[in-house]
Amino acid sequence: MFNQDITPYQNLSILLLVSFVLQSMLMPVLLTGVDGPEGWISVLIAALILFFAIKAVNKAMKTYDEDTIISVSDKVFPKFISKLIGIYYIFMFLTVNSLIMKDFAEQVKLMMMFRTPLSTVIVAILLTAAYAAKKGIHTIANITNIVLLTSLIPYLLIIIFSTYYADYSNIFPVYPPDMEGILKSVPNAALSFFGFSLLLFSNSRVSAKGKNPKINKRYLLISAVLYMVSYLLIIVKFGTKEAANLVWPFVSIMKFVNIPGFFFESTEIVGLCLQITVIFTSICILAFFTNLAMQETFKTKENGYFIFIQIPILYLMAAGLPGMYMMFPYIQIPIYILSGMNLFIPLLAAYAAGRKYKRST
Amino acid sequence: MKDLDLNQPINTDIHKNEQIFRKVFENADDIIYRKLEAGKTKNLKMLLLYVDGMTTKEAISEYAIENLLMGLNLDKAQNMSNAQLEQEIAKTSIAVSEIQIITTIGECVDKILSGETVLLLDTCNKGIMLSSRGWPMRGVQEPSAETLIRGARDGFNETMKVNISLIRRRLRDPKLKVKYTQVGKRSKTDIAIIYIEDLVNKTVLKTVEKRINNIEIDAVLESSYIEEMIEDDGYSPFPQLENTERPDAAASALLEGRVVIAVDNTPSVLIAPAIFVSFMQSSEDYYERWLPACAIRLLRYIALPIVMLLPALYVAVTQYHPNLLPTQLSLYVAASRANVPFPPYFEALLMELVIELVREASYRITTPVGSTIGLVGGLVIGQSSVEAGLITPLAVIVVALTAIASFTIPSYNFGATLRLIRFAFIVLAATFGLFGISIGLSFLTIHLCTLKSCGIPYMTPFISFVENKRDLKDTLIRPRIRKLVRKPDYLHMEKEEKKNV
Repeated sequence: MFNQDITPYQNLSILLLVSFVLQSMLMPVLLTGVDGPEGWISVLIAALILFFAIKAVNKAMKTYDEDTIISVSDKVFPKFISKLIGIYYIFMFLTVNSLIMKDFAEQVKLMMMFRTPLSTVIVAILLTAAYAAKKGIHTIANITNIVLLTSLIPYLLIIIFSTYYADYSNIFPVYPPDMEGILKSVPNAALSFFGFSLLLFSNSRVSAKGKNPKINKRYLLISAVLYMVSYLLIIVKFGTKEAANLVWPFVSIMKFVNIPGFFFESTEIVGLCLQITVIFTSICILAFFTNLAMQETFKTKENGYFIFIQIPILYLMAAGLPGMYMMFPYIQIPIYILSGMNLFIPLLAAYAAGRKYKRST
Repeated sequence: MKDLDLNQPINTDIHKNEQIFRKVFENADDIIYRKLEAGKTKNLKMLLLYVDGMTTKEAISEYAIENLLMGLNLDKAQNMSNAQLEQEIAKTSIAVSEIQIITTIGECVDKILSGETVLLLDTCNKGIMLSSRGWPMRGVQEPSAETLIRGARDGFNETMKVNISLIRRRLRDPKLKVKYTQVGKRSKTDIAIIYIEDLVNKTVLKTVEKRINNIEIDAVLESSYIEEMIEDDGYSPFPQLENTERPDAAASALLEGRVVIAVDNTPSVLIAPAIFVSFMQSSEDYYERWLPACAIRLLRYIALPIVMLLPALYVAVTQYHPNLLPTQLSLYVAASRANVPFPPYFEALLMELVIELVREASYRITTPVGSTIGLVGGLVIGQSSVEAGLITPLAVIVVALTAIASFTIPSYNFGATLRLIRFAFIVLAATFGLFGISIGLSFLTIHLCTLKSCGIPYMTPFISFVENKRDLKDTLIRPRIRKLVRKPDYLHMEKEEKKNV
């Protein structure tokens, strides 16, 4: 109780929460990418690929269980490659975090704060997230578990209640599948399992490291089920054609909630309030891991203070980036690149680590 | 006083000793100097020193001195060592519960000020402390702030030893340990650290001991002084140690493996560590049948967001999100607000301020009048404000409901914190609506997740609910007593099984 490491299940909560947020953000890309209700097959394929990747990474990293992907790279690659990897992760975390922030701020503005400038919403989120990120991984893990209990579960329940007037025939026909669309959507689905990139950092902070392989597999399973169920819920609610036009499917789905005795007229605002806490926590998590990546890349011990460097960068990126709905036509290529790099780097590091271990024995 | 060295040994010349003590206790007229002459030839002089009003005079004059004069060979005493003198006194069947030989002036001063009597013998460089503490004290009454329908009616009072005995009566366990220490340069207040040796979390115990020993303060007038000095985060609005005036609650905390800190001159004992969940529990939860107790505890958890958020939600919904309400209600709210000159946040702040004023006034006035003030104040001010068109009836309902809900929180300190936070939420709701409330809740969650009590995370067991899943059963609900055989996991007990009282 007195150490500052996180428990295996806290690690699981972190991975699940961030993945859920990325999945809900990238869901429209999946809905538009596959012509038909078979998008869940892309999720399944992505999950299978990541399952084997996680297995390989965990096996090779056994001897480096105290290290993050950056410090492992530092040991198995030449210095400049490890620096490049570090910079890639910093850039990737910053980009993803600013995208989430922008998307989220736009939702808040559109649904709740019509007259408030977007930048005010972003600054409010950023400052709160900075406060959390500076407190360290222990606090972040604690927040995640609390949010999982108090926000994510009620949020998911609200979504489930929305299926009251759903048309379940929408999930058919599965055959013949749109194979091209399914395969093209696999990188997008793989990127949505963002926990895969996070576990390369968070596993090193777990108190019982022996449980990491089991927890990582469990994460993949739960996250895949959650992703597929969410996808199918949207499909049964809206149908394939209508779903393809949704910008924020989870917010849209909450407009049709039917809970007996629930008297609020705009349920999406209630859902959005819960979503704020969930998304906000994932922003904190990403901000913390960006800090960690910066610390490892620049070899400093001061971790918390990197958040002050992140605040202006994140603000400028979030303010400068166009909204997700504006990016849909151009997002496919960046998704392929990020998804490919996120899979390639850990596998390469794992391969190099495995070879080094073999040579030494 | 500055020139006097209190560490100097007791002089063999009794006159010199008297002069020293008169100088130490200059202008202290309540110090009694009683001179006696004893021995066969009446040539052995003695001096008795005690504080008037802090000693039981009968114990000293009728039993101790009489027996001492008759039984002790005073002529020999001057040549005896400490141990011999103590042995000799013990032989005299002196009717005093505790005797101790002291050698320095400082020790004598401490003992006298603690209510003991010090006996000095001429030509002897030792003093004899005769236990004689006794002062008028309040009886063992039911604590007015923690009344129960079912449960023991005794409560702690201002005498620490009485309080310890009340705990001992409940736990006749030789493993129940009581460690004394003193805090306060001037007050020298007695403090007892109480724990059960094989149940306590050793790290928590060490932390508590270390923090208490590091306290540097002139005086400790109430246990809240100690609370503030040893808590983990002094800037947090949340209490990090529990306090109770109930011996059964203290005994229960000891059985859980927690540490109880009793402070002399105050009926409130402190319990460490204290977690969020413990502030939502009441002793009565365990005395009632489990099903009604469960319902009552659940009700408290429902009251918690009402206390914190209801006025803020009122402000956010009426000011920013009227579309959230059903159309009829939304129209009613709009109609009732039409003639009100103030914005919703001002209404809420005004009414909350009035409620707090009435509450504070009723605390300061004697109980029967206090409750009348509360009732009249609430009714008259609320009704008049609505009739005058200053506030809406809905605002009165919201504020009244919040006030009632705040009384369901068992811990006064915790309830006061929630009331304070409520104002911050009203301001956030007035600025950013529901988004502001969400941001505020996020801030609160971060703060609570960072907070610790003597090293134990404040939000245990929720922060690691899978690992501490067994602890979850006594949180939102109160399980059956037979299900509470295990001690809380978060305290890492050495012994696994216990019967939770």
